[in-house]
Amino acid sequence: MTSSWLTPETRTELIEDLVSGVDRYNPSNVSILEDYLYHQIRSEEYDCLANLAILKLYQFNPELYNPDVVVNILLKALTACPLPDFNLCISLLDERTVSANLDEPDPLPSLLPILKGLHSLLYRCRFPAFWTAYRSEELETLRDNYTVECVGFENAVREVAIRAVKAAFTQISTERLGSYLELTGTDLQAYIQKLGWTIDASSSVISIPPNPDNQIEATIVQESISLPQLTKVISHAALKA
Amino acid sequence: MRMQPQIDEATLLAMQQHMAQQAAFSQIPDVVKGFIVHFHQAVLNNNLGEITVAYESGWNKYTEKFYSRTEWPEAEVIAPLVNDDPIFLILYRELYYRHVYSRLQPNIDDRFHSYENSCELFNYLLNSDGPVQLELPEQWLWDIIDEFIYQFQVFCTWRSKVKSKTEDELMMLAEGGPVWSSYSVLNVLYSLIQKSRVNEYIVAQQEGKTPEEIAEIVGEYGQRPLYRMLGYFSIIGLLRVHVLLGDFTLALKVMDNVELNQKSSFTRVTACHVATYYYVGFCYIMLRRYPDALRTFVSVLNLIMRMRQYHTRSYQYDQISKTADRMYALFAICNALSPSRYDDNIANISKERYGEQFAKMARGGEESLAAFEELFLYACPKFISANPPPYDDPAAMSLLVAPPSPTDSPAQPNASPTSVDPTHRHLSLFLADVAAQAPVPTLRSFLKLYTSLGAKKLANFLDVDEEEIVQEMMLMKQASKHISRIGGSEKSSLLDGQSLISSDLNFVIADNMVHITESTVGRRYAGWFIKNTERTARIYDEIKNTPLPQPSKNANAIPAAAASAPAGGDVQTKGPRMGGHKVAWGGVKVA
Repeated sequence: MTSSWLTPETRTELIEDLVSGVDRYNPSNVSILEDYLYHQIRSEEYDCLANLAILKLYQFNPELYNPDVVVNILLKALTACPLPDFNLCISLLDERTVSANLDEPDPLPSLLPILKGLHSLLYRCRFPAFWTAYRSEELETLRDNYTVECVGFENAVREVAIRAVKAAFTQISTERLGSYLELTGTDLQAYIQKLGWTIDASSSVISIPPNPDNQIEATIVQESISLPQLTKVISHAALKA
Repeated sequence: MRMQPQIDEATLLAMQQHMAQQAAFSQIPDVVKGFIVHFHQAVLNNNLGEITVAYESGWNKYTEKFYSRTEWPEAEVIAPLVNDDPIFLILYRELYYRHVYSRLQPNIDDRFHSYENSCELFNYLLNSDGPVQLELPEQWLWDIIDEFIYQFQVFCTWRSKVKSKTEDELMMLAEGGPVWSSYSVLNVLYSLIQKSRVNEYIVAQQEGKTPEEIAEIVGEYGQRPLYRMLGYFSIIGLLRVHVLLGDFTLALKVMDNVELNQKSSFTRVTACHVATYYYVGFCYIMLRRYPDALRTFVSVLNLIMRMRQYHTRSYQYDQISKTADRMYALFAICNALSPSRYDDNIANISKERYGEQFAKMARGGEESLAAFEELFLYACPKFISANPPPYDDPAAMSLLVAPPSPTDSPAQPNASPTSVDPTHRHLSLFLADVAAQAPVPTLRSFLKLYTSLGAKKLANFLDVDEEEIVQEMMLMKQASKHISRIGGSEKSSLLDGQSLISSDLNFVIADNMVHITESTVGRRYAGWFIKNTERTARIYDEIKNTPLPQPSKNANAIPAAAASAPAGGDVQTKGPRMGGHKVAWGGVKVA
């Protein structure tokens, strides 16, 4: 993964020690990592490995389990699409035995399928469908209790869409882009301007600046012949001469 | 009547036990007794050569001959032969239980006792006053770690099967506590790594420090080969345990200092080498880094092919063979998800074994999922759950065994005891990814036919909505990019990488028009020409240096001088042509 994913600039030394050392197994450190997660949520930052460390502590110490933390981690991971972060989190969510540990019923079992559904839509680039599902009544709990806390969640999802669009398009109609971003009219214009993309006023087609992904050219993979391969042939000819 | 003095029960039991042991002792064949004594001597003398022979061939020979279906004699029974040497008995028990686990069925007592024995062994190694003087062959050291983790893994699997437990077992498990807990296993591995300072050793070696400096850095434990190798193997052990627990990033992270190349120490034990590449490759698959996975599998599969000739006798060969087969299956999976022309040799073998599944997987669509599932389940590691069922909590246990009525919540799959075991949890994550990509092969086959194509037209071909097609193409673009470790940067972490396009078909959408390009491989002619040029040159030299044949007495006028002149100057008459060297052109180059 890119180095900024492995070691985000916003990660402090304290967290770095926890993520890279043995202290990550110490249950009493879980609150440090949980606080860091809430910091990420409030400041629009993201640190996948630190969040995975929380899930691992929960894996080994079921009594530490905090469903709200898990939901928030999953929400953050959603916004990292198409990186595999969301799947990595689920991999660490072992089976939970129903215990009388929590004060309130565990919201995770009912939210998990919903989150998985959202992830699937994002991963498969079904952005309009994502927004429809996200705004539906079914997801009211999610919106009211979780995503409202997560600063910039919707913008982060928009960035997922932009990443996909940037790679596949050189030009895209305003309408199409609007449906991917769930923005219309002036909001949409403002957003596009902020990205630095240009709109052709007459046809309302947006031009996407060139990037390595949307510039394609037919290439022929030529074999490269290096000098060492030819030494025997050349030296033999030289000797003969 | 005078009462006989009562022998109390404890003494009676002890006497019976003693008699039973004596009986068992007398049943041991003499050769086995001799072998044990000899083995013990070798260990006492730190005679690595003798220990290796005893360990690798002696033990297996006698197992095959006398103990192929029963246990070896218990440690207490053979103790007199070795003067009750506690260390040797710990090592003996290690072998004893390994045999039980592999050839027989361990019962709950076996499982608990083997754990205790392992703890005693690691305690001895880690908590004695300073490093122990024991020396053991590297193969044995690897096997100790490997077996320890294996026993942990089978215990977890066995423990999670709640319904088949007897009352006694339930009780023992309820009080089991730390026996085979994840924390204790991890503790052992981390302790071995820390005690031996093996990570610091690797870094110091890479920095080219002198042996004196290195000795200083690694301390008294790290200087002893036993500890250094145990530390090294523990790193690989951690890689494996983290994968079993579903933590793929941490698994790759613990390997941060280990270089995946032929020079690294872990290649000295083939089984370790193979295991390392298998787990690293699997991590890459779960991280969706299919090209990296392919590269990993190809290098180790080539190695196994080359080493096959040396290993057929060895008992490890079976295990290595099986792992190789699983890797061919994983190779097929990766090749279907991210086609490449990486290594035709391995690809061919993989297609030989899994041709049917590969064809389905490569075609995509709904039918491919079953093939992906089949190969994934065959080839994946035996995942485990970190936590036991709540044997110590009767209330929770009863909930587990008799689930609440379905009126509680239909959307609570996690609460029911028929819920997903770890393997199926990872399988469903993998299949979700695969299903997302399932339409891609069909889409690709259409795009290959055009250089530009309207989105609407493409949608019509596939009988779907235009918008649907556009979104599918964004996905296809996404699926053709993977994070790859750039070759040559071997010192970097296994997790490093950059996003690279790994597909030969590329396209871009301009509003509603799709523009397509393909990258092709140009004709490769250099290798053929170089090879044949060199060959011709060789033949030419050979002919030049061969003396001309002696003329026969009745031959036509051939000047005697010319016959003895070496080729170099002008030959005035031609000698008879030398037969034998046939020049064949257009030979097929073997890959």
